[in-house]
Amino acid sequence: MNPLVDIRNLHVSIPLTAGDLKVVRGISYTVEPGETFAIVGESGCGKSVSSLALMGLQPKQARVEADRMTFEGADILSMPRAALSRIRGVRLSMIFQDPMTALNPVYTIGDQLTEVYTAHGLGGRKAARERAIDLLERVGLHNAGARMTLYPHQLSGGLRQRVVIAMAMMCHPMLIIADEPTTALDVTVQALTLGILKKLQSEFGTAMILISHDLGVVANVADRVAVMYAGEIVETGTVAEVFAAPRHPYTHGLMSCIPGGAHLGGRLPTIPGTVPSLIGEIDGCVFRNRCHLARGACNHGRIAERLDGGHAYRCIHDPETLARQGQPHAEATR
Amino acid sequence: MTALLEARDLSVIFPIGRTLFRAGQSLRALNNVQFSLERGEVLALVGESGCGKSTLAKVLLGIQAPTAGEVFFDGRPLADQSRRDLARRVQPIFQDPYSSLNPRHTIADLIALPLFVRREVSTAQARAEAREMMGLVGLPRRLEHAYPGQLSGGQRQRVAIARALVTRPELVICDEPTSALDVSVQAQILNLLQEMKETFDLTYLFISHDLSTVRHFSDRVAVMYLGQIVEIGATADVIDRPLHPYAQKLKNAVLPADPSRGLPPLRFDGGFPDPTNPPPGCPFHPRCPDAFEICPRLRPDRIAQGASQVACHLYDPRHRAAAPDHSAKET
Repeated sequence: MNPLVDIRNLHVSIPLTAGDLKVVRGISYTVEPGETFAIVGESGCGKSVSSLALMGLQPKQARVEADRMTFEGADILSMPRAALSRIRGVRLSMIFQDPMTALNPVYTIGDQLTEVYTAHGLGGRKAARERAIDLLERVGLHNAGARMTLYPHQLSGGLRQRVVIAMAMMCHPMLIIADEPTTALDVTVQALTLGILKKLQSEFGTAMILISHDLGVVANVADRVAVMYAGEIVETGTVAEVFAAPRHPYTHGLMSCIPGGAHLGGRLPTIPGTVPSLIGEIDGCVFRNRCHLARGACNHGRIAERLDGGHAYRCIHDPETLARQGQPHAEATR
Repeated sequence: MTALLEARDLSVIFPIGRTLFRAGQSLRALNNVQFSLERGEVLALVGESGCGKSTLAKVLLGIQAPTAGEVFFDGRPLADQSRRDLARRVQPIFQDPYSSLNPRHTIADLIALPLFVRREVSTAQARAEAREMMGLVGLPRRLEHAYPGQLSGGQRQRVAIARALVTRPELVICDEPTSALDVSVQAQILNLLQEMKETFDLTYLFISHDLSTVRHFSDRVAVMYLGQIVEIGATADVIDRPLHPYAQKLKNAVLPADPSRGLPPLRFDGGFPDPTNPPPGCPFHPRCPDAFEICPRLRPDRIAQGASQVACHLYDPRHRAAAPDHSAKET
């Protein structure tokens, strides 16, 4: 079976006066139909830009290059704009962080939901209305028929995001890209919102690319995860593999700085230093200036990807070394 | 010994939508809030957005006057103390270091600003103190003349911390100090706050929605719902063994970084109520899985239960017998 999304060696760069800002540096991944693939990383690591590029929505001045970038077998890079906009919203839809910016405040939610359907020519207004009501009921907006006339401001943040989820599902997409879908919501509605998303996904067989900085969200929702750092995917694997035994020192560091557990009340382990400048090429490992395992061999060339079954990582060190040396920076936080 | 801070029966009511021709409604942002904070303690306030956490912070900072009730700081009513003196002794740290720092001031000036405002020290001395603070919070000297726009989120939050501590306050009100930061930076800032607490003998009121951070950082926790404290007690009790059904709901909402658990089953409960039209009786009863006959009729009093205090009829001996399944709550 062909993957739904196949990205090989994707680069996204933005020309600046100081040089090219290389926000995505040769990432490759595939997404299979129906699966949830998470991209996790901190701000500026390129997780959002890489997915925007997949939809042809990258910033205007950005340059996108890849050996291959296909969605349902069709080449996104060479696709004319008109063809791309026929795919977007229909085969492939998107959920953003803030539901208030995704919804138009002067139209009712019913108008906005049905418009997606009719504008893409999937059917008439009656069919659109039926589909909208069905989806609103599925996301837990009871008595949806009567509530189609509500405006976005009349709903709470959690309900608004559920309306956005219903809207994303209107045209039976094969893939949903969810960029921090619950970051703006309260913790009490986070689990519910993610649960609704997962339920719809399995009912319709939709795949999802979940972009998040929250390891808790990723662990509970995703099948596979890619960890991004400084424009590179440093580690990929199933969530079980990556969370149980992270192979890259960055992943390992991220997981150990979550509060709770062993360090209660004491000092939390931290990752010292800051992300390297993304202008121009980075020689050697992208994480080496913050890594306690770094040595001479980490300084040159691009670190090759190592494979252990489905678990891939870009680090020259053996997993045993990482497990043994842990996080020695617990005391040196500054 | 008197508590450093004591809130007695605090209420704040905001009139909204009132015009010349219409009576309008009122929004009760705080409803008989009562707690005390000992010197050297960290009290966390947790709850959903709209529960009144930030209004409470404003009252304690003297920015918002309470409609009813009183705040005592160091044994004296807040209202009787001079604004200037209070501003030195109580300082805030806000969530977003992008909006709390003036982008047109240099780092050293931003940190020294509270000293300039007080006009008690010379400019040169204020600058020297700002530089000393920069060292203490881990900001390199070369950033002295930099602007906030040139700093990372973590560095900006260090500036905000340095500025809050430059007047040597006794109480620091941290309003979601790490929520806007990346995970690896969050840990650095939490460590710094811990370190500063030890260096300057600080007392913190720590407002957060993140239970794992609260569990790590605080001594006691107050859970707020719709302007009321529904449970207050030691961190280990309230976070790990919550009594109030709402506190239990908060605990269960945390998604641990552990893929073996999976999402909790879907449960639609109607969500956060409209604060201008709060439910009668216990404010949580429409969402409460354990609600029984008395809950919509009577607002529960806060009663002692073990070392905690909880406002829930399930724990009130007068009503407990009527609860359908009260044995489950005994533990």
